[in-house]
Amino acid sequence: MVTMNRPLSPHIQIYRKQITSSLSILHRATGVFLSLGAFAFVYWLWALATGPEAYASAQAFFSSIIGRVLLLGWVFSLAYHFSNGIRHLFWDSGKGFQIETVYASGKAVLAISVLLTILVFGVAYAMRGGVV
Amino acid sequence: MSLRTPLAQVRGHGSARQGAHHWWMQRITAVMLIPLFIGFVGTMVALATGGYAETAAFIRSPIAAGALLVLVVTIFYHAALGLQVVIEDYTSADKCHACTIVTMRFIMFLLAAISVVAVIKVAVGG
Repeated sequence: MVTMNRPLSPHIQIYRKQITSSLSILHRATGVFLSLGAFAFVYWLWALATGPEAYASAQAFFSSIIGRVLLLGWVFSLAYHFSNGIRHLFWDSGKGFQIETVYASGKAVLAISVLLTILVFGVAYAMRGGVV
Repeated sequence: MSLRTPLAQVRGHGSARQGAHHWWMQRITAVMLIPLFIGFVGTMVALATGGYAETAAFIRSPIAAGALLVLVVTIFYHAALGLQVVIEDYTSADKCHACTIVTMRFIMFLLAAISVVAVIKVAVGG
């Protein structure tokens, strides 16, 4: 087979970083990170099915420093993957391909992800009565 | 000169007339996950103060349990499809792609099954 010496497309080392490629790889990275979060989700469901003691220790884990940092990461990843996923669905329907629109929707998705993360954590902490 | 047939060289490395189905299921599950995740995150925020009893009581509602079941199955289906693309794109095809994908699918299937049993157990008040 004549597969040797084929030209490669511009590779990551020489490819200029831009918002389109960065957001694209972030979509995949958040997807993979959320798949790891699925393990934590299953742990939470398992604890709930097991009983009050197991549920209390799951809550203790998620309230710990490590638990909170992970939750922050998962909430942001979900917010981003969710918003950018909707952006992808618009592309799938053939809309929003003008380069200005792609840049604008990319910036909007980033802003919305940060706002959603703040909203989720803000409301959750407010509902705890300000007890951190 | 390889004695392997051309078919053996492409099998497991990409389209085998299943790409459209993979693509389409990824989109269908994505659309399903929009309302499901809005409901799930809203519920999680509301239950952040609650303990075991409150959370378990909430899931005993058939609507909550049903939505949670669809959510877990859709999550793991969507995750399996997405992780498959990541494996195909970023791991060397010299190392058995199919092995990694089958292992990943097995783990996703296992997690989905554990979640379904857990939700049903809580829902029926076990």
